[in-house]
Amino acid sequence: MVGLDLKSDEELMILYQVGDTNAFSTLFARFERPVRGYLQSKLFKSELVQDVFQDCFMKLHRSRFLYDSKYPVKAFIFTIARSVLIDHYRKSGNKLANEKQLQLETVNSGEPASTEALDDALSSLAPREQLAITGRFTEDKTFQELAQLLGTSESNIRQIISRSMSKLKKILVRPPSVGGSKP
Amino acid sequence: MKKHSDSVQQEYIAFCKGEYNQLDLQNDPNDIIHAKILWDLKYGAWLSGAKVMFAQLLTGTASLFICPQFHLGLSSQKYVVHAFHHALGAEGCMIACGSIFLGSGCLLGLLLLRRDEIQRLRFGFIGSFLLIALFSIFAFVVLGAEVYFKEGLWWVLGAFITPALIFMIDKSIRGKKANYFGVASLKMK
Repeated sequence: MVGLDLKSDEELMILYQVGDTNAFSTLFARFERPVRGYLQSKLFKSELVQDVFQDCFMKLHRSRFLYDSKYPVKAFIFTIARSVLIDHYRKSGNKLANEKQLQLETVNSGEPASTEALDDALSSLAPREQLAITGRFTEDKTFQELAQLLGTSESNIRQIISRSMSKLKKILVRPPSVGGSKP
Repeated sequence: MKKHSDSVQQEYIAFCKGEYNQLDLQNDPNDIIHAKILWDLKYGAWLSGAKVMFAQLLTGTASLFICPQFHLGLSSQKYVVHAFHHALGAEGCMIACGSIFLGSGCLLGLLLLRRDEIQRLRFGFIGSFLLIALFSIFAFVVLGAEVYFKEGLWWVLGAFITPALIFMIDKSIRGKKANYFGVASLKMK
């Protein structure tokens, strides 16, 4: 394996495609930490990270023949990790990514929005929009539950939340006296 | 949209620079997937071959109900053979019979195998059908079929060409390229 350590990622990938187990082991050792770290930065529960990590490498294994040697292996592996993450979000309806984005949204100073600013911004939304946002991000309701609660379809709920998020972002960037939506 | 692609690129740059590497990893959990993939690399081809054999056994047996091979069938139905003989002549009939017998196995095999299993076999996939064709002729002889050399050659031709064609068509239809989210062109090391 000493010789393989000196090989580039692209050379190892080609050997892996041909079935070289040592080449795979070397690639695994190189990318285990970055992939796991990337997933851990996006997910919060360690058991989820482990599951998604295994899915990533299994997908890499099943997609290994799709790799084109004119592109870097890092891009290939990153792409796979990201697509597995997106699949995970879709399957679990995990809104941690959006929630984190909302919490870490930068205001003018680049600092996260304060609770007070968020409350002010929320109160400037229509009641229906407030209900959708709080139901989704505070009470962890699913789209289906919110749709039943508000007496509308799931796709409409998604649109309401998406519009509300855009409004909140605009309000948080500018002072409420200048912009924001009317109830 | 641009903002989204910018954030993806930022993540990729951080990935390449090793900014996600700050972790304490536990050894055992990660060995599971490592071991699984190593096992597949070592023995997976045999499993794929077994799937192909199973597919052929299933469809080959089923095809004997509608199209007897070398006068050996599982029903008294001879309509298909007579139709081939009438339309294509003796040689064409043998090619058609071989095509049905192994072509059906190839189609089922392509459904049962994953994409990476097919790609791993590559032209071994076609070669395996040549072996299956020769083995099948042997099996028919053992089972009492009257296999004449010339007839057998035409049959093997059909049995081999059809899976090869199906494999090529499948490859061109289902050929897939990876989507790199626009990061592959970034010059990162």
